[in-house]
Amino acid sequence: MEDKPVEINSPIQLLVEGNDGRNFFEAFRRHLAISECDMQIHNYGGIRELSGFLSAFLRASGFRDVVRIGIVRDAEPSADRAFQSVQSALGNVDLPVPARIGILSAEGNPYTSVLILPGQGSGMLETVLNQSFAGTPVDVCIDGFFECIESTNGGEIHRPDKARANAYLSSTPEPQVSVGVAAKKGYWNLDHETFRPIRDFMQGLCTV
Amino acid sequence: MLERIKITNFRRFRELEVPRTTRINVITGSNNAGKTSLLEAIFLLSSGGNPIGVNIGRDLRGLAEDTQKPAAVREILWKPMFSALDTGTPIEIAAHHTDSGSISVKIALEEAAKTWRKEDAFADPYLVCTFFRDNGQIATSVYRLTDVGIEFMSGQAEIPFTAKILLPYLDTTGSEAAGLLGALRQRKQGDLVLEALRVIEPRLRSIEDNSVSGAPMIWGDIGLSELVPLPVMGGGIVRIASLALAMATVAGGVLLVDEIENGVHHSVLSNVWRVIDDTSRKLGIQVFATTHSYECLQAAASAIEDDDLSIHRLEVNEDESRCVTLDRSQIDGIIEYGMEVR
Repeated sequence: MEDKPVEINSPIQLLVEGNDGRNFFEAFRRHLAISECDMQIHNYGGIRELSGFLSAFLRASGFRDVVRIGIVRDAEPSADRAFQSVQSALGNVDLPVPARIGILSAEGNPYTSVLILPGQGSGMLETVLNQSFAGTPVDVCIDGFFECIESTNGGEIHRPDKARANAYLSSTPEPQVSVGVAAKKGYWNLDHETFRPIRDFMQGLCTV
Repeated sequence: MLERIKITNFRRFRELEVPRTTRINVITGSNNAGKTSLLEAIFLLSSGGNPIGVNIGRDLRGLAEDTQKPAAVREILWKPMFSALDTGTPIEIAAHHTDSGSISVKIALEEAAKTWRKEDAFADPYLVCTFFRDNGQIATSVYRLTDVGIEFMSGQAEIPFTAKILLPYLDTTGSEAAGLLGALRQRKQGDLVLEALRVIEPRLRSIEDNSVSGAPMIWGDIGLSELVPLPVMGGGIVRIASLALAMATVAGGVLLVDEIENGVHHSVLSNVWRVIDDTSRKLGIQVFATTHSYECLQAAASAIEDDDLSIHRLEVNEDESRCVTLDRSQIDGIIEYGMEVR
């Protein structure tokens, strides 16, 4: 059976990158217990799809009642360039543009805010997730595992942030799940201090 | 082609602008947003204020039986045309037409005291329709109520563009359809209808209009020992025949279709849109069609490959109407991301 089209029916909209991003932020919202915050979370696809997504999103039914939009993007090589890319995408569709990461735009109708993960520098959602178990015995085991691979002939750890996150999940009851689904299953310690910027960002969207 | 439509004080619309259009326009919106009223407004404009346009409200709203007496015409047909029953403000429907230029129709309900003939002393108001082109008054049609209905008192025929309106519950059948097909066959254009019908009935080898049963009707050859009357082949066939016949008779004009998905199975919607796309392109027809169906929107987007497709969503907020128009890339995005657009 085909899915019903998604209606925009909440005043606060959070746009995130990929299915993992959506699953993670849905889990995080539940964890924050901000049930009184009427928020919808959408996957806008990859970083190159944000502009096209926003152009269509503005025309979806229900958009006229949206008051705040949050956009989350991975920094990948550069947090600054990632932020500028999102600013550009917002400007291209005549939406208000925030001046700084994590701060609401000065103008509303609707207000916008952008979060770049992991914060400064380069990285992604997995970079933040990995910080939540840094220094734990499992993390030490993963270091050993990576050293073992790199010591083999031709061995190399590709995309170390993703590799570390998935290696961590191999220690959970369901090692086959993705990082986003793992968040829904409670496999990440969402109370860890590393998630404070995400907590502040989401609460900032919800605060009147 | 119609561009930049503006409607003032008509039915749901205090004011509505449709700032841009394409060859094929799909109109969506919630119930009572004014989808049918937009079609009605375009048809009124096409009539230049002449009777066929003024009376279309009867058919569109299923009121033919209820509006025979003067009081019924005034209370059920005329006054509700004016937004919020504000009969003190004229209705205005305006557009830019690529061939006819800036055109508009103004409709006013004038008191009987301001009579057009001094000897008339009727208590009922007059409906006065004035057609303008490029801001110059071209023609005026006046209607008054009598004991037997509406009298078209005066006016000159001025049809700025041809238009045909297809209703969801009143498909073309029987003698009217047979007559239309006969006329098309005389111009060697009968194949246009046959090709359209084959979209949902591939067995159809040929169609013809004849009166063998005593009444003119379209009959089809689906490979049986005898021809079969078209209406018994199903509601979908009748609907597509109505669409094809309508398009064939409005070349160079505008086709208005209410609830286009009616009677059409979802599996053939794309094919139906392909027929509409091909035929409207060949015959230079602009199409405005309303729909409630997301499947119908998806089918239109998949069948019509070029940029000649728009979706117009009518929204109402605290009695203010607005039209949100999606261009091709926005339509593709909406459907790709599975967002609601109706």
